[in-house]
Amino acid sequence: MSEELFPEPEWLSEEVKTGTTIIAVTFDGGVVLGSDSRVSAGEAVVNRVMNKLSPLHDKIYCALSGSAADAQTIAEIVNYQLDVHRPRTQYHRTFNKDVILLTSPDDNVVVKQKKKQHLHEIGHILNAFEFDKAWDRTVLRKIKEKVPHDLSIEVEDDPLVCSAATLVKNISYKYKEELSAHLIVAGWDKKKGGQVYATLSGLLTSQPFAIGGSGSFYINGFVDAEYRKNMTKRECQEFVVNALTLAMGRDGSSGGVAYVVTIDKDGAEEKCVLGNELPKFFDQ
Amino acid sequence: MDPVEFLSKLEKTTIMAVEFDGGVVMGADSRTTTGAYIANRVTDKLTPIHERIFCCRSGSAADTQAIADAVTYQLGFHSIELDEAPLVQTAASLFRDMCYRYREELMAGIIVAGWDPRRGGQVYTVPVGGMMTRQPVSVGGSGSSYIYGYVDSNYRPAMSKEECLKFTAEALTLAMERDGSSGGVVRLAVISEQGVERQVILGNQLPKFSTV
Repeated sequence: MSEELFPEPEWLSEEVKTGTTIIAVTFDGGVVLGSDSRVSAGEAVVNRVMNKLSPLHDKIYCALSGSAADAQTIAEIVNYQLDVHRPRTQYHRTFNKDVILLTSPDDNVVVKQKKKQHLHEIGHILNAFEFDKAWDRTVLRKIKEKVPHDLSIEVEDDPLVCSAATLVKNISYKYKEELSAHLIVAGWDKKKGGQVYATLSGLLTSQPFAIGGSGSFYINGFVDAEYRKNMTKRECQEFVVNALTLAMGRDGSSGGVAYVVTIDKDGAEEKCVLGNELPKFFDQ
Repeated sequence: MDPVEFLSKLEKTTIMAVEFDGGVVMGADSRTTTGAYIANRVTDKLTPIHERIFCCRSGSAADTQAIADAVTYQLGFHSIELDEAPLVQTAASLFRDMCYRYREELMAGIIVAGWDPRRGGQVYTVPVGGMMTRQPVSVGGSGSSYIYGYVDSNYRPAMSKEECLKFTAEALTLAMERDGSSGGVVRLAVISEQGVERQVILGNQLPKFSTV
């Protein structure tokens, strides 16, 4: 009886999709990512303030679109996989550029330097393995061969954006039939600067900019016309906000506020542009 | 149905019309496809309905041609009875009546544009389903979804004729670049009190954007 009076809303059984607009653009020195904030289940908006820009690492973010569950899961998995790039032992930060070789108990030779020795004596160092980032990778390989197997090696270097994108692509491609999510991976690394990678359906391609989501169809013409190489950071941010506003104006599944993340060599800066602060375009 | 899927059921095309003070500029691409084969790469999708009233057709070619013929006949008769040039709104209403009455059987998206002495340049859009509304700028066809953002950001009221021509050519070029079903040359027509001027912009003369 109560079911007839108050039938269960349709949206409860609809799949939750981020019908969305996402965009990532490179500029000289970094990248800018942008997304809208609407999550819909059928015709209902179930979250109007969702941040679809998900961090994979300090200077690498990804933008989610497609099925909300699939996209979030991929982002979390890759975030976890990239965590190996985080230094676990915080107090090692004092000797960033030296190599500590822990010798076997039979050896009497230990590399001595005061601070390290002190830590060694008071037992703060159990296992330490650090090397200068400028060192050739071949050194690491050679050292690795001599290291016992139960010692875990952690890389202090920040991961390359290409690596993060490849991890995302591998998952997208392997589970192509089951998943329906499109992630755009963008970030900054020392080797190549700002980069944007599109990983739609398991392909991997580096582009100066990428757009995705249902709202992106409407701004294809706009971004083709307005994108220029070597924009400044400010111009790039404006370009992203303009593109998002135009897409949100035409796509029923995109809307809400605009989230913008700017990544350069100094780190990632998140910003939220509210509805009334968005630029206005011609509307009859 | 998501927007691209819906619009892709229309005749693979991109059409556009813009009003300016003194007339209208209409444009269309020139590709007609049957499946993956381009049946005609130099189609003329701008069809005259009366001396200073044209329509851009998208949707099923057969349906739109039949409707256009019927409206041309009805409008011609009406104009002779009135003994003066018909209004653009009249032409648009005739399109709308037919598209709405037979909406279940037809698949036609039409933009009607022209000049009449009473109201100057006007653009009316009659999309699939049979509604009619006047708009200063209107786009249609499968390629139109890609240029909504561009049109929204670049249109300004009170543009001159040359600015409108440039705006239309650029918008159509962008759509043709992204929509596999639109392409070929850009056909433009300017309708004003002086009459109709037609232009064709060939492939190598199309405006260039930074290629990605």
